[in-house]
Amino acid sequence: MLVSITDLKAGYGTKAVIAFDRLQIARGQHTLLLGPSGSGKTTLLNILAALATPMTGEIIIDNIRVDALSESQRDHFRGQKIGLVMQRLHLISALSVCDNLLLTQRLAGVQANSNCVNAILEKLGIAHKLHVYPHQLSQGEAQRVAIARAVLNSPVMILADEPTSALDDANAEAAIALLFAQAEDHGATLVVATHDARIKSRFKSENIIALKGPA
Amino acid sequence: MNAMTTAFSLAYAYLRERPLATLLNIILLSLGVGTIIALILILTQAEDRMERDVAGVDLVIGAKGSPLQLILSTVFHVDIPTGNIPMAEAQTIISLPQVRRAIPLALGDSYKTFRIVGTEAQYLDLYDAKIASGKIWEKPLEASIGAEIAKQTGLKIGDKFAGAHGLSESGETHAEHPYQVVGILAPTGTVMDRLVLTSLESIWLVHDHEEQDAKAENGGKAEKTEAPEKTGTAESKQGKEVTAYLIQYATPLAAASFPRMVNASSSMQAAAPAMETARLFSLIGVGVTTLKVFAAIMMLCAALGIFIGLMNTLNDRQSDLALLRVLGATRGMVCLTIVAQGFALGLAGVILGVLLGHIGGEWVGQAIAKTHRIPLTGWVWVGEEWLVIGAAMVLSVLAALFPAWRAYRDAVPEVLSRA
Repeated sequence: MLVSITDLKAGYGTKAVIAFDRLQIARGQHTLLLGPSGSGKTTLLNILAALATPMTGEIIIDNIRVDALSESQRDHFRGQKIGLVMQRLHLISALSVCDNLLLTQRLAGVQANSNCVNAILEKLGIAHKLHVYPHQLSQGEAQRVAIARAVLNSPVMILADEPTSALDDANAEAAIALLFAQAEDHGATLVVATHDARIKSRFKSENIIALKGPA
Repeated sequence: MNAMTTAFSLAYAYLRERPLATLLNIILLSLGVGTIIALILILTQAEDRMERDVAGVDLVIGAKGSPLQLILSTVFHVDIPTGNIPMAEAQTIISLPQVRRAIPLALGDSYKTFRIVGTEAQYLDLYDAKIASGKIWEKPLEASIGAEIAKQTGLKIGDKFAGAHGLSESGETHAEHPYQVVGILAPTGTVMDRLVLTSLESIWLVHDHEEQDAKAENGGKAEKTEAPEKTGTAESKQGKEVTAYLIQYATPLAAASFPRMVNASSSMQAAAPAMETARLFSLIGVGVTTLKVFAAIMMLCAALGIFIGLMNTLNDRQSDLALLRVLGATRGMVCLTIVAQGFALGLAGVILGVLLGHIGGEWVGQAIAKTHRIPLTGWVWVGEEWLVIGAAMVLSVLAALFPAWRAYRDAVPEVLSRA
């Protein structure tokens, strides 16, 4: 099992947004967290990314008891094991595409390697944007760079929060296809949280977790 | 170490993203630092210079007038003398047992604004001055010149030159009594480098002659209509006169009563260089303090600028900083990137400020050197500068601490949910 969660309760402050007795995701089991806004998708994603701690519950990811880690240990865990793609927030504005990716390696404690960076951008067809700054990129290009960054350190899991909601049909399809391809390529498990039903067909029905939020 | 490099490269990127604000902060800081450093450079050198020029002179005895003027004219050679004193009267005082050494000076003439000093060979000992080439003056109208004069005027041994009356270049020249250079002194780093030294007799000879000329031309009126400058000339009407005696005490105890005795019992005045220079610096001190306070306020404004700049960007960059956390940066790391910005601004401001301070010091030094012939330069390093540098760096980093703490406190999921 890649992810094994038991007795989870999580939310903001003292108010629980989500509760699971048991949630398991196997390696390679690409999963969709589907639900309207406020249903707790992002809360669960934050838990999986070790950005937030649960109120109760045990979380094991890649054989690590994430809920028992200290904050800085969770930061290191996230840097090395998790790739995150968000809806709009893609890149550090002050850094070029190249420097954004090199920074990602350094923050994960990986030796910065511009060959790796070039190879990934080449594969995603945006190698010519290497020295461009984020504000000069289109939203779609920025997302591609964000996806490149998410897979750069070969994470065990790629978490994507509403990766397609801001895109039209064609681009949404392209984005989700790219996420799948990159996840497969790097041997990572993809977990997508969205309210966007268009991408449902991409996931096996048993891998779709419908969230309804607090009753 | 790796975290440091990362933090500083991020800080650099962030500062570069807002070039105008960054530039303003750096300029403000460098102006503050530069002003203080220029002041320190000039003052330290001036004080150092004065201390060396005072050398071992405990007391100066000269004509009554302003004691500060007496010191400025006879020790530092930058002012007009207060007048002359009769040697005969001075003799009774300098032969007292409290006096170990008394060096007579006769002033009043100059050569291209360098002062001509009639004195005795022991004046050289006061500054440990050595002859570099030639010899010490012996006969009347022989002169030994300071190293700086040789350098600036190109006078060589054997050359003849005429002194001018008074201390400015416009004074009438004593063309009929030219001096001959017989020696050039080695540089001493004191006022001596800028003096033309000759015997007392030379001065008397030059002015005896002139006195007769003046009398011949104007009859008896000459004495009453003397120009004020002329009172500074050593003349020999009723017995020999000199401008002043530089006194070294035989015992430090003499300082307690000797000056008072001179001032009370003779027509002359006694002034202590140490006291007068202290008085001078306390006079200048008010201006210097004002400038220093002004510069310190500039430095504070710079720190405030850094603080406000960082606080402003904090709002814009909140999501950026959250993204850093998403990528695996710890709270400490995020904090460090902000402190690094303060540090980098401080460092840039200090480097530019030190540069400006030295250039400014050199500029002011050149101006002073030109008008007062006191060589001051910006190309020296004074220990006090480290204090200014330290203070500027501490201020810059302090200014970044609160913004850094604010960023440290941010909860990532909340920031992301707003992004």
